[in-house]
Amino acid sequence: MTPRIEITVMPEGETSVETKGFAGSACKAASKPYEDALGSQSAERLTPEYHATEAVAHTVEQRA
Amino acid sequence: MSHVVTIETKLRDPAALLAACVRLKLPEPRPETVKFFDGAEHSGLAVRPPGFVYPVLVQPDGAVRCDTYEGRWGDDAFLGRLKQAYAVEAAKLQANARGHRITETALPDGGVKLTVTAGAAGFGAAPQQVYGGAA
Repeated sequence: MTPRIEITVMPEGETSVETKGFAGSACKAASKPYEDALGSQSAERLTPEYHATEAVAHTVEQRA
Repeated sequence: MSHVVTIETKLRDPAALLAACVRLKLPEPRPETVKFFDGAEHSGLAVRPPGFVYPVLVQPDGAVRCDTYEGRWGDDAFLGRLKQAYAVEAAKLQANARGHRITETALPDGGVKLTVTAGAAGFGAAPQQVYGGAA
């Protein structure tokens, strides 16, 4: 999946920023400038994709 | 890996505020000191939507101050539309400054979805130009 940032802005002005297709911690670094430009963070949620990637990395670490 | 962040919109970038006003077909916001109905004076960039008794005042910290008298002196829903327009334009300015591609899609519920993809330099590249104080 091509890495991308999806920003959804509701009519009331509430905004959510979601990253997709990133490897490692790059997703947070990529979205941070957009988060800072839009305002201040009020909540953060890690997606299933986040945990799936972390689980793979953990397995690889155990085998090494 | 991925994550979702909810953002409370702060209108801190004058360039994005100007672009939002253009998007909403409003006059350019101008620096003003406004004396509101309660007698308090506040300074900031004044946005003047049609039908509003007092301007919508955007203060340097991004906070928005207005007095609509519960809708009698201005449409309360405008504040949401202003924040939405600001967020869209602020994201576009960031994308342009960083050489990212950005596409805009209108959603059926009135929302706007922006999809940002990186250019040749990737997402880690430094911005070419930073707008306002919120780089």
